[in-house]
Order: sequence, then structure tokens, then C-alpha cells
Amino acid sequence: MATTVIMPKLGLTMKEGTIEKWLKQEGDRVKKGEPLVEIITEKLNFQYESPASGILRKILHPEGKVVPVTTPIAIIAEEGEALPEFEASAPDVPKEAPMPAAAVRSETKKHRERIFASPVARKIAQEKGIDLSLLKGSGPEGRIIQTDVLKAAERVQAEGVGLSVPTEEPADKLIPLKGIRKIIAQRMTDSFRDTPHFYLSVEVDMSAVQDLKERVQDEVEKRAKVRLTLTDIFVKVVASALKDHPIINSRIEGDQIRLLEEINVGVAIALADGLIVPVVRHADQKSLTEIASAIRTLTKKARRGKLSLEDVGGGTFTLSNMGMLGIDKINPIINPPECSILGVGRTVEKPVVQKGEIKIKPMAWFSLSSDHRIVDGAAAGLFLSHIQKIIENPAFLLV
Amino acid sequence: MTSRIDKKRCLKMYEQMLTIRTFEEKAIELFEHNLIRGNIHPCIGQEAVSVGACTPLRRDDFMVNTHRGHGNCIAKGADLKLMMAELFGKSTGYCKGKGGSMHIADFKGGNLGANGIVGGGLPIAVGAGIGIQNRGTDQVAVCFFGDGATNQGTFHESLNLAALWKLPVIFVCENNLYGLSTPVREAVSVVNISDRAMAYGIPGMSIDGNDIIAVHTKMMEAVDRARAGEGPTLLDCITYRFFGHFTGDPGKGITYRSKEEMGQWLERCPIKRFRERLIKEKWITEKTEKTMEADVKASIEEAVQFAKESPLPLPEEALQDLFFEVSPNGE
Repeated sequence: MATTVIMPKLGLTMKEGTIEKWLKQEGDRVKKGEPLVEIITEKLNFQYESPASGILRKILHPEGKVVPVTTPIAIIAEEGEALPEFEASAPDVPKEAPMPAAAVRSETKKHRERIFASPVARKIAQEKGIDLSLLKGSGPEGRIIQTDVLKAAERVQAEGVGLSVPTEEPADKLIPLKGIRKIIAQRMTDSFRDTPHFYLSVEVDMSAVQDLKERVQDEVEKRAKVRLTLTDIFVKVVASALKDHPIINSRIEGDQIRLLEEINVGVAIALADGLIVPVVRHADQKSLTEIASAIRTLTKKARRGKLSLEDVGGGTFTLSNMGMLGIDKINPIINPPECSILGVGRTVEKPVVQKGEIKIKPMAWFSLSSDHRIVDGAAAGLFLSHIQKIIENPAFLLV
Repeated sequence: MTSRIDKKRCLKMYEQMLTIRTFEEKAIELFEHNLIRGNIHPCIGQEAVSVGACTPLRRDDFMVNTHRGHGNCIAKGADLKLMMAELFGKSTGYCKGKGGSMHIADFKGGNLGANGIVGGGLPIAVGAGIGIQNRGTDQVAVCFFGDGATNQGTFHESLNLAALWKLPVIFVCENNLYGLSTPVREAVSVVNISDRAMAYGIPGMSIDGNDIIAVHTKMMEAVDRARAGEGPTLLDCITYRFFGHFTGDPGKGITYRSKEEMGQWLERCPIKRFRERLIKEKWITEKTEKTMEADVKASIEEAVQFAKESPLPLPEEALQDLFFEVSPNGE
């Protein structure tokens, strides 16, 4: 008996799911319990197992398609068995495999109607560049036959005009907004629309902090087998400054501002297909070694897609360091529900005037984006200059 | 060992294990099809504990269940139709459709119901034990709970009171090694959960919960002890759930359990092991087994049909049946 595979409901609140990847292709034999399709919901990534044994006779929805739960997505049956009829959807992304020109055009038309034409009519149409969708068939039940195409070709030649009126739409690639991309889109839109951002920047002398890194990195490596980075130091500095500026470590809850007890610093990490912000918990209570090893563990997990909800939740402040990409200055969007975010640019040697003398110093831009509902310019300014003070004289970390 | 249980009983036990597995596979499928609205916590893989522990019970013995309790319901003799209707939220279900998967109760069949609260059932079982003692009958009460529940205060309070008053309660831990995603070795201070029996001066054993004969044998001893008025026993049945904590737990729990570990436990499937024993005894053949599987499947399809055709409860019935009158003899 043919089995209809549906988009399974995988949780109490699941309404729709994205078909991420078909692990079997049409015509493949599958066993009951074998992974069949990868499904992504708002909450999880799930390998759905085949509910039956047989041949995957039909895939009804292509990869990237979002469909509501219980929608039929495939049919498993034995060879030659009659299949139930379901509405299939065409791929969102046109396949790159070469298809007859006429068919390609009909594929990209708004109404994807099936064109009934004889094989020879199709072949001639392809050779002569005739768009079958524009022809009226004279064969049985309106089927386009050889003479229809030949007549059309004569007309084209006689009148000297192209029959193929619609020019081919450009073959733009479409990427479905789904999974992590969809979440980023939603959260950043919400934040940018609902949070009145304002931005402060300061250029900071990095000599002392570079010196600090030089002096302690071997010790850190000895203790935790990780190479210390500037980001690790920034997290330490930020956590220390947040302790003295509780208003920056806060969030809006209805008509109240909650000053948070915990200091959990999120670190933005770029992934191939998006951005994720794992969190260093209690960063204010951690040593540089502990911070460095925590960030390295989180980064590894992020790259393998193994971060748990706990790893990415509970952040109270975010750091986005774009120095390694050679960017001078960044004004990041606040990561809700946090109230501020720090963007750090690259360190670059510059002429700096000090006491009437020009000196060459390694300098970097530090930019703070803050939520003006909570923080005013003065409070944010004090916080940012506190960070500058520590970076230029890391001994303050000990005070 | 098998020889101590007769053929008829063994076949019945095997059929019950098959019924539990098939029932749950169906329930998962129905949930995925959005026909069952409440969460399903499958006990597939733990069938030997349910059937091994319930077979020595009489219909008038009591059982207190957990949220992962379809298997225990079936083993205690529940009607598949009424169970399935309850899962569907239909008015013909055990709780008239107001309990769902996690709260199936059948007082007539001695099933005192399940609890969504971890460790919530233990004091209820002790209460049933006190009732039995007061009435002076030779009934027993069995309490199922998971490894996670053994860290709850209710576990210790219940064992203490049952031991102190020598109540006819058997505490059966369905130790599937994970409290949701927390491994038991990271959560429990003793090596074996049965070690905790020592603290209350009662017998405690940790046994292979995927060996139905072992569970049955130890349960018989515990039930005999309880009926004789010698007090409670703690049975720690070590087993494994083949599915995740709930339907929809990614990769059947792959986020906290390794593929190797899951593979090893699949090898130790309680149904497979029991089948091998029955074949060795020549008590089943491929043919009789196929017939049995078909019968089980048919009875579950029948239950689904019954549930589908049953009416939903009416809104005005929402506040009815909040209390159940029990006569002094437990009827």
C-alpha cells in the first residue's frame, strides 16, 4: 500500500516546517526507520525517519520549501503501485540542469501550467526557439503537435518577428529565508524598529593592551591550551566595566528597567550561513584563561552547529569585534533584549599628537550602540570612556 | 528461568510487550499527523519493566503511573479503545478526554493515574498502601517512577513512611539512565539507585530491566513480601528509552546521548531478547508470531477507529468529574 509522508508535527507549537534536505532521491529504496528528510523548525533541526519501507516514488515539495504540518511531502510505494494524487510544488530555485529552452521559459512564467505537446513538437520548438506556452494546439484535447510548431516557425520567418514575446527573466538565484537566517531577520528588524539606537565612538590607544597580551599569552596557553586573542581581553574589560555601570547591564521589561545581577557577555561569531552570539556566563568572575577557553569551546560548538539553548541564551551585553576583517569602525544593531552592544574595529598604527609631539601608536575604534529608552548619552559616554581607560591602562582591571 | 512461568503466561506477556510498542508507534504517528494534540512521551524500549512488573499483579491491586506511562497502563490491563480515545481527547476516553496521554486513570482497574510532576506519584502510592492496611486486605500498591524522581524529597519521604509502617507498596524505578537530558551518573550520588533502600532498611535490587523474566521474578518476590505484610521493596530496573524524552526530541535524544550508546541499547531490545528465548523454548514460531503481530495491529487500528468516531467532550462538561467517590472497599 502506498504511504503518504507528511510534514510531521514535532512539537506542541509547531505550525510549519522547512524541508532542508532530502536524504533520499526519487526512485531510491528506503527502509522504515531510515533517515529520509531533514526538517528545520523554528526550534530545531530534525532528521525525520521514513515511516514505511518501499521506493521513494515521489517528492512533492523540494528542498527549501516551507509547508504547514500534515501537508503531504512525499509518497513511498512499491514499483508499479498506483499513487495517490497530491498537489506538488515547483522548486523555488530553478534547477541548473539544462532543460529545453521552451520548457525553461514556461517554467519561469507566472502560471506554471503543464504544456501538452508531442515529443517531436517539443524537439522542433527547441531547435527553432519557439515558446510552446504561446501556441494553441490543434491535436487531441488541444495537444500541440508538429504542424502547430512548424506553422508558428513559418510565421516567425515571414513576419520577421519573434514569437517568444516574454523575454527570459534573469536567472537570479533565490535563497529561502529560513532557519537561522529567518531568526536573524526577525530579531534585527524588531530591534532596529523598536529600539531608539544612538552611537558613540572613541579611538583607543592599544599599546598597553597589546603589551599585556604579549606578556600573558604563553601562560594562558600553558594553562588552558588556547591562544589568547584580543577578543578575550575585550570580554574581560567589558565585564569589569559593566560592574561599575549597572545601567548598561539592564533591559526593559514593560514599564520597568531591570538591572541585571549576572554579567553574561555574548560574543558575535560569523558562520557560513549567518551569525550567532554564544554567551560567556559570569564573565566578570572569570579569569582571562577561563574566558579564552570558554570562547574557544563556544566557537568550536558554533562552527559545528552544536550550540545548546543555554550557550546562546541569557546574554546581558554583546561584543562584536570586526578587527580581524580589517574594518575600521562598526556601529552594530543592539541584540535584544540587551540594551547596548560594543563594536570594535581593527588596530592600526597612526600618527598621534601627544604633548605637542607626533608619535606612532596602534589605535582602534571602539563604538557603543545604546538604547536611548534606558541609557542617556552621558551614562553611555562614561561607560565607553571607562572601557578606554582600562584598555589604555589594563592595571585598572586589578583595582 | 523461563520454566517457572508457564507457556500461556509467557505468550501473554510477549503479546502485551508487542501491544505497547505498536500502540506507541501508532500514537507517535498520530501526533505527527496532528490528530493527537497533547505531548507524547514514548516508553518504547522499556516494555519489559511494564509487563514484568504488572504481570504478578491482580486486577484489584493498585498502580500509580508516570508521564511516560502508556506501557504501564496496557500492562495493568487497560482497554486500548478507551486509552486511544483519551489520547484523542474524546469523551469516550478513560478521563472523558480531559486527561490526555499523561493522565490516564482507571480506578476500576486499579490504575490510580499518572502524574505530570516528577516524583508526584510516590506519596499517592503510599496513601494507597495505608488504605490497604486500614482495610486489612491483601492487595498491594505498585509505584512506577523514573530515575530523576529518586532525587526528589517525595521519594525519600515515601520510602521512609512505607518502610516504617510496613506498607504493601512496591517501588519500581524505571531507570532509563536519563532524567530528560541529565545522565543518572551526573545526578545520583550512589552507584546503584537500589543502594538507597539501605537507608530505609528495606530490600533493594538493581536489575536488568530489559530482561522481562528477571523483572518478573524479582517482582513476584516483592509482591509476595508485600502481601505477607513484610513491607515495601525497591526495584531499580535499568532500561533505556529508544525514543527521545518526547516526540520531537531531535534525533531521539541524540543531543545528549551518543549514537554508539543508543546502538548498544537497541541490541538489548527487550522484545527481541524475549522473542529469542521463546523461540528457543519452541513456544512461538515465525508463523504464530506473525499472527500475533497482525492481531495486535488490528486491535490498535480498531482502537484508533473507535477514538476517531467518538465525540469530543462538551464545553459545559469541563467542571464535571473533578472528584471520584470511592467506597471503603476500594470499589
